[in-house]
Amino acid sequence: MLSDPAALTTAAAPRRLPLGLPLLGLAILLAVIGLAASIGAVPISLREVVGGVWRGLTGELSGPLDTIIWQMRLPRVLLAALVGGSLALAGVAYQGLFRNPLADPYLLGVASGAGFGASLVLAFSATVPLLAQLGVPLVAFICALAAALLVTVLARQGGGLPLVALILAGVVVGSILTAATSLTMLAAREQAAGVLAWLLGSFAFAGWAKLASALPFVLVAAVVIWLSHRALNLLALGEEQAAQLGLPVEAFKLLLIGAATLATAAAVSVSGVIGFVGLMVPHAVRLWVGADHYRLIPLACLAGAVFMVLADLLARTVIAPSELPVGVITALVGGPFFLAVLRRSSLHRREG
Amino acid sequence: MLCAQGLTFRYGRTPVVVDLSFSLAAGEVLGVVGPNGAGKSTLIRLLTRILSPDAGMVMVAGRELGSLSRLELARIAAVVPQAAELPDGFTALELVAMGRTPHLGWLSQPSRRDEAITEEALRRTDTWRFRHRLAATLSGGERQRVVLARALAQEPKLLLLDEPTNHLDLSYQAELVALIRREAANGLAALVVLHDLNLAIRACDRLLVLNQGRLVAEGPPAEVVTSALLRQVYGAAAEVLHPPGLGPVVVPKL
Repeated sequence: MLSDPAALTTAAAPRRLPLGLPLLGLAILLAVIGLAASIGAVPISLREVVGGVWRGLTGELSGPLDTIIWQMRLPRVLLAALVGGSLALAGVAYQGLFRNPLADPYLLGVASGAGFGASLVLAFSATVPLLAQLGVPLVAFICALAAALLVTVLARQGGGLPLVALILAGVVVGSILTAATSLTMLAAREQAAGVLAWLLGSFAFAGWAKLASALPFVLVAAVVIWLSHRALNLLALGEEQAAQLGLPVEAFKLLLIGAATLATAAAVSVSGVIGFVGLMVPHAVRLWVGADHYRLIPLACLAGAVFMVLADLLARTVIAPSELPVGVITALVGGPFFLAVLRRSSLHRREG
Repeated sequence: MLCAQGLTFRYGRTPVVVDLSFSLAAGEVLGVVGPNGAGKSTLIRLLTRILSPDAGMVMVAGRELGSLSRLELARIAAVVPQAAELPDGFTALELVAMGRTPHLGWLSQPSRRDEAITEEALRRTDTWRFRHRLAATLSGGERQRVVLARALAQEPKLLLLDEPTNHLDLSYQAELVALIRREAANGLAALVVLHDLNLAIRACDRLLVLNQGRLVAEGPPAEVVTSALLRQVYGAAAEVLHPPGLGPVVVPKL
C-alpha cells in the first residue's frame, strides 16, 4: 500500500528509549544508595563508603567501618532497592493487565499468602522442625505463589481468565488467608509480635543471603515483563482490540500474571509486606513519562528502587536508635496518594 | 477476499446470526445495515474470531478463518470497533504505531519501514498534525480517525468497520466515507456496518440487509432500498425518493 517507504525521510520515530532518562534514574539511584549507606548510627563519609565497597568487592575488608558498610549497610540498602524495584515492576504489570491504575502487586492474594507462610514459620518453628529448616523467606515465597495459583484456578472460566473474576477470587482468598494468619497468631501468642513486625515489612534483617535468594526471581520477572512491553501496550486497548491486533491475549495474561507474582513473592519473602509502593510508583511515573510500557517499565523500576531506599533510610533514622517498620512509612506516604488518585479518577469519570 | 457460507451463531439458545452467506471482493465496499439487534456487530466479532460460529464457514484471503492464528488474521484484517476505547496516557502516534504490532517479531523493534508506514497512515487520516497529543485530549472525531489510522497501519487487505461514523458530525462522516472509498480504490476490501441508511447508500457498492440475524436482501443500494423492504425490516413507514442526480434517499413518513 505504501508506494516507497524510503522516500519518507521525516520518519515518525515513534519509540526509542531516550537513554537520558534511564541513565539519570540510574545515577540518582547510585547517589541515593551511597547516601543511605553513609547515614546511620555510625556516620561514614561517602568516600569511606566507596572505599569500603571497593575493598568488599576485592575481598580485602579492613577495619570495623568496612565491616559496617559491607556486612550491614550495603546489603540492606541494596535489598531495599531490589524490593522497591520489583514491587514497582509488578505494579506496572498488574496495572497494565487490569487496566486499572489502582491495581497493586498484592491484588491476587500474594501478600496474604506470604503473610500466612511467614506466620506459620514464626509460630510453629519450635514444634515443627521442617518449618524452621525451610525458613521464613522460602515458606513465605511458596505460600505466596500457592495463593496466586489458587486465585488463578478459581477465576478460570471456560478457556479464559476474566479479570473481574481474578480480582474477586483474590479478595476472597486474601481474606481467608488473613484470617488464617490471625488464627496462627492467636495459637502462638508469644510469637505474635514477631509475625506482626514481619507483616509490616522491614529491612532490619537484610543480608547478602536474602539478596541472593530474591535476585534471580526478580531478574527473570523483570526480563519477561520488559519483553512483554508491547503486549502490555496492546492490553491497554482492552482484550478485544488486543486480540484483533493479533495478540494471543490469554497466553500473555498468564505469562504476565506469573512474572508479576514471582516478582512480588520474591520481594515479600525477603522483606515482609510493604504496601503502596507497587501502586504509587508506577502510577506517578506513568503521569510523568506517559503510558508506553517500553519507557514506563524500566523507569518505574528505577523509581521504585529509589523510593524504597529513601523510605528505609527514613524508617531507620527518624526515631533512631529504634526503627520504624518501613511499611509504616510507605503507608503514610502512599495512603494519601492513593486517595488523591481515587478522587482524581472519579472526578475524571464524572466529567467524561 | 472474504466469503461466508451458512454462518450461524447462537447466544445461548437465541439465534443471533442465522445461515448467513455472502462474499466480498477486493476493492469493494460492502455495507451491512439493519435494525438494532440484527446481528451486525456480532457478524464483525465472528469475522475476527472474537466469537466462534456454531455452524458455517468463513474464508479469508483464500484460507479458512479457523485455521488462521490471531497473528495471521491481524496481518490480513483490521478492525475499527464501535466506540473504540483509547487509553489516556498514549499519544496518537503511539496508538497508531500499535497497528504495526502484527508485523513485528515479539522481540524486535519497529524498523524505519514500520515507522514510515505509521507516518503514512497518520497523514492519510489527517491525524499527523496532532500525533504528539495524548488520547485524553482528543475529540470524538479525532479519536475515530486515530483508530482508523491504526487499522490502516496494519496494512490490511480487509477492513472491518463497526459503525465508524457514530458520534461524528456531518463533515467527518463525509470525510470518513471518502477515505474508505479511496482505500477501496487501492484494492482494500471493506465491510462497513452502518446505522444510517442514507450514508450507507452513498458509501457502499453493495448492501447486505440483516433482520434478526437473517439476510433479507442483498445487492446494489439503489435496487435493495425500497419502501417495501423498509416496511418489512424496520416496520417503519418510510418513503424512498429518487431525486435526479442522487441515489435513493430514505425519508421517514411522519
